[in-house]
Amino acid sequence: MPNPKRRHSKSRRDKRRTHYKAVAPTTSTCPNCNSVKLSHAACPDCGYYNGRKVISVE
Amino acid sequence: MIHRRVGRKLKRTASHRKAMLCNMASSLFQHKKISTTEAKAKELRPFAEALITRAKHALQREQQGQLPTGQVIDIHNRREVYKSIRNKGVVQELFDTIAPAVATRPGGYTRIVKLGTRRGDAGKIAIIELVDFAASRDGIIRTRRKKTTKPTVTKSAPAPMVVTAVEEEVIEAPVADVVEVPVEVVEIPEEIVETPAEVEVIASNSEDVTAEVEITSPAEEVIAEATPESSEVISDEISTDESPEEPKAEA
Ligand SMILES: [Zn+2]
Repeated sequence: MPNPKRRHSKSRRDKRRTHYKAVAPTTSTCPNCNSVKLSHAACPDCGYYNGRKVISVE
Repeated sequence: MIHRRVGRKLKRTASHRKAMLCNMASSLFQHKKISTTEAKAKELRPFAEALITRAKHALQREQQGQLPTGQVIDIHNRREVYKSIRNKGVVQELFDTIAPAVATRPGGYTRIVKLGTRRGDAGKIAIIELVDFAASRDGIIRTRRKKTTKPTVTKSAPAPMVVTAVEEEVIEAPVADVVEVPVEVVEIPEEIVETPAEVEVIASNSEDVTAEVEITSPAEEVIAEATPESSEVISDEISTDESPEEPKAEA
C-alpha cells in the first residue's frame, strides 16, 4: 500500500486549513418588527411568519 | 446511486418509525399544532394528511348516505384510522371536529413553519399545524420584488403579456397593497385552468384574505387568455406550504 513519505509539518496542515471557513447564515429582515431573522423561518423576536403569529414570544 | 428512494429513515427501525409517526399524528390531531424537528415534520405531513383525507371522505359518505344499511357513522374507516391513532378520543376528534373543518379543502391540511435551531444540538426545529385551526393573518405580509416574480412568469406559459405589463407598473409604484394583487394573478391561472368553476374555492383557500376580494376580475382575464393552452398546463403544486415568498437578500 502507498504510504506518505514525509510527515506534513504544522505549517502545511495549518495552511490547508486556511480554507475551512464558517459561513454566515442567510438572514432577512422581519416585515413585522424589522429585526434580523433567518430567511424562510419565523421571527424569533415577534413570532410572526408570513403575516401570521406562529409562536408566542415572551 | 440513490434513485427513487422516498422518505427519511430518521435513524429508526421500521416499527419504531411507524410507531413514532402514529404518536406524532395523534399529538397533532389532539393539539392542532406541534413543534418537532424539520425532518420529522416533513415526514409527518403526508402521513397525517392521509389520515385526515380518510376522515374527510368518511364524513362525505356519512352525509350522502353511502354507508351500509343500518349504519349512521363510517365504522370501517374509523377502525382503519384507529390502527394508527390508538386513542379513541383522538379518533373522535379527527372525525367529528377536524373532518368537518377541512371538508372543502382539497388537500394540504397542514403547514410547516421553520423556527431555527435549538440549543444543545443545533437541530432544526419547525412547527407543523393544521391550517384550519391556525392563527389568522394579522401581521404584515412581505411583498414580492421583481427578482422573485420573474421566474414564475417565465414558467407560466399562458398570458405572459398581461403579467409583465402589470408587473412593470407595480415596480414603479412601491405600494404594499398593489404588489399583492399581480402576485396572485401569476399563480392562479396555473391552478384553475382545468376547472374554472372552482375559482371561488381556490381563491378562498389561498388564505390570503386581503387578496381574495381583488383577485376575481384580473383572474378572469387571465383565464380568458389561458384557455387555448389549457391542456398543456397542469399544475401539480397543490400544497399549502407557502411557495418561496420570502425574497432572497439581495446579493
Ligand atoms: Zn419580527
